[in-house]
Amino acid sequence: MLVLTRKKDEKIIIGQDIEITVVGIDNGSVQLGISAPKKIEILRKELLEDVKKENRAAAENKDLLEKLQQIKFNKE
Amino acid sequence: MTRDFGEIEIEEDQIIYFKNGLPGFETAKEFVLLPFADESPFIIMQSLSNQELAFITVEPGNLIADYEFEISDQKEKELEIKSIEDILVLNIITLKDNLEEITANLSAPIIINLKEKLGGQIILDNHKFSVRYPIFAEQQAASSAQKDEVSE
Repeated sequence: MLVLTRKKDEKIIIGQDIEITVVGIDNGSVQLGISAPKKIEILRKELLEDVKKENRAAAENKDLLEKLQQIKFNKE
Repeated sequence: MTRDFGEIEIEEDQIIYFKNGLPGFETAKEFVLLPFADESPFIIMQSLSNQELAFITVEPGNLIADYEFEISDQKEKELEIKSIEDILVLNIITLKDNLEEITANLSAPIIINLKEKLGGQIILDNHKFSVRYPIFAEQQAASSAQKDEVSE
């Protein structure tokens, strides 16, 4: 892993077209500005990990299927 | 062969192709949608490559009134979405022993282009919708009534 030190308003370029700016530093939080082509998906990693975890939990449904019969939505 | 419905005939045009699989299940690329039962709002999303893999899903209209999000241009292109009328939005349900702990993943809806048979799970990185939204949150009355029924 490459580790760089940057100050506020300094930038990092990744490849041809991704630019990351340190927008602000505040009390342990770093605010980043990211310019990248639209086709690049940018996500907070913990959110992706959380969705993976939840998908795995959701797949453990085999023995609980009968629960579905007890659920009714009060649709208007 | 399905996990919950035994062996059923699947037509080629029922197969939805997920180019990237789903987060955590990247190799599961082909699914079919099977209604859980007559009159049931639930739809089982059965993997074709892995018989043991099936997700329970429901359309968000059953869960929450104001569910709005934007699909990025890139995802629209990936799923070849031409018209909003062609898409079906589903949310994955996580079942729990206790009915009240059952949640829906509102933060990562499944988008299916019914016309092109392409699907994908998108992640809404906007803090607005929960990965674990308790589906009975807005229907406390109904769920406690049902609990009574169950315990009888």
